[in-house]
Amino acid sequence: MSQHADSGCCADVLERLDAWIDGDLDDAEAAAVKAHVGRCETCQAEQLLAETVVAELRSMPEFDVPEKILQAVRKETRSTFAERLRAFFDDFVFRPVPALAAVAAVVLILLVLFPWSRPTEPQYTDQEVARAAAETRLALAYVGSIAQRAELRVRERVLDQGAAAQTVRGVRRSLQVIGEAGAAAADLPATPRPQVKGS
Amino acid sequence: MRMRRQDFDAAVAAHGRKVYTLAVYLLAGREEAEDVTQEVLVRLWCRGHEVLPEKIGPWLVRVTRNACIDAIRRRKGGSPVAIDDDAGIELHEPAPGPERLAHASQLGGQIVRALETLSEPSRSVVILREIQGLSYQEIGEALEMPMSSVRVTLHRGRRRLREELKEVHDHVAAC
Amino acid sequence: MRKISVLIGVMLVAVAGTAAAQVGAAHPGYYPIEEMGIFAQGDVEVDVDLSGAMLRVAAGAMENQDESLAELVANLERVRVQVGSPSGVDASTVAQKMADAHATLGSAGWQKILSVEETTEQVYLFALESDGNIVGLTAFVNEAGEEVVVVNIVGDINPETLGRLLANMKDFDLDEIMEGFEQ
Repeated sequence: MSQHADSGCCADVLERLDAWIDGDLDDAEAAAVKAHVGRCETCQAEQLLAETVVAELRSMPEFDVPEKILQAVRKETRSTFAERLRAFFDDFVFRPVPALAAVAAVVLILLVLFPWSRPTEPQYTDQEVARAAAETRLALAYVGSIAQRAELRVRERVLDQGAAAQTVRGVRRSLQVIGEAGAAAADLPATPRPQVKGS
Repeated sequence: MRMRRQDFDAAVAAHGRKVYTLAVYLLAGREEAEDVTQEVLVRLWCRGHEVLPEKIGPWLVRVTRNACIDAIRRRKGGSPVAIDDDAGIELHEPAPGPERLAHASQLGGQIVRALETLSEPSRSVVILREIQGLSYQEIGEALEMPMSSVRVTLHRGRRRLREELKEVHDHVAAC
Repeated sequence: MRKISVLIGVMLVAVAGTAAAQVGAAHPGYYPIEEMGIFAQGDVEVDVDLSGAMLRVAAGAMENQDESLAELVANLERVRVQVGSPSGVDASTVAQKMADAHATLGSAGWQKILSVEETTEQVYLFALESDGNIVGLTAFVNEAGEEVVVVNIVGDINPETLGRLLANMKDFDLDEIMEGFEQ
């Protein structure tokens, strides 16, 4: 075996070495490269190195996204209130409520049979009622979400500063205090304190 | 408008690992890779609804690579980098600080350092093909290159790695 | 088509609500969020205004799902929500207007339940108490002047009921409410 058997061919073979290793050459070309490598120590060494490097690369690990980055992303991608409301109104689809339809039917029958039972309250369609219920829940959800967000922010800031957790007054506790103070001032009977979780 | 939350969560679960891994190897360090990954995922949240679901993977690779190139340019102090169509983008600024990637084998550690000497797009192609196992087609779609160019670029990159590693390999082989 | 029906629905509710709008205005828990001067013409993207009878009907629709919630809603007089991106004022001006509202509410006896004051975000939640009940809730959110939310809820709100409902955030999870309507 010669060290440089066909030195003129070595450059050509080395140029095609990676394609040969990857199986990208046609049969004739692959055979020619194989034959040369079989009798050329330099190209053999190069093949060994090439295959070693590829094997090493393919054994290198992939990495999971660190949890702190996922949390930072979650925090940064929290929808703004306006976006949620916009999406809500874009996607709103009325779903008929069977119970409401039954109630509406009963009311209709009563109106027809007993005209004096006509209610003095304005009449709303099922869609209007469903929408009003949705909008009311949404408004209260805003209050709840604002409270939760503010509460969390205050907690984070307090914990960052190492201050005592007791200095954080949650919405629930504040509302309880308001209720108790007001009841005491109005001399109303005290209502039992609710079992609030996590306060 | 944004991606739907469930679509975003699914995309992060499916592609987050690939984004972070690509960034780690392109930047040869975790700290910058974490920043880039966060930036890319937030961009996914903001712009993902404009991308067809089946194209999210290639889109993320492209965005990640571009973000990493920007990060490397920032290491250079924002100086413009010449782009040669043949040689690609020269990015030789090493990762700052000791936050470098450790690897079990001596050769493996050298490979990470050798990767830093590769120009773009060779560096990205080698990482995507050999470490992350993407097909030529997937790489071509992500980097907007013909498959034949991907192949040529890959081979060029591996040759360049061998040149860098020859000395180490010969030393190890001799022992 | 869906958006047209939504728009018609909003207009119908707005018309129904407008007729009863005066009901809430004289109430001590009422705060004129539209007079804060944050939004210019065309800025408000979402405008919810529910009063009196409509709220009681909404409460009726909620009874099967949650009696406590239905009872709370039945005792509301008015619900106002405005959401938008102010175009005529910058972030610092919005923050100043909220600070002014803060002072006004404070001097009128409203209690600040919670506040967050950061460079890019201000969040306030106020409550007005009367005889042991909350008669008004007012909330402001300013996200760097780009997204602003103002809420005023008027009525006879039992604080323990509201506190208990807020404690069970599942009922008030915005994402869940949205998903519930998308199903």
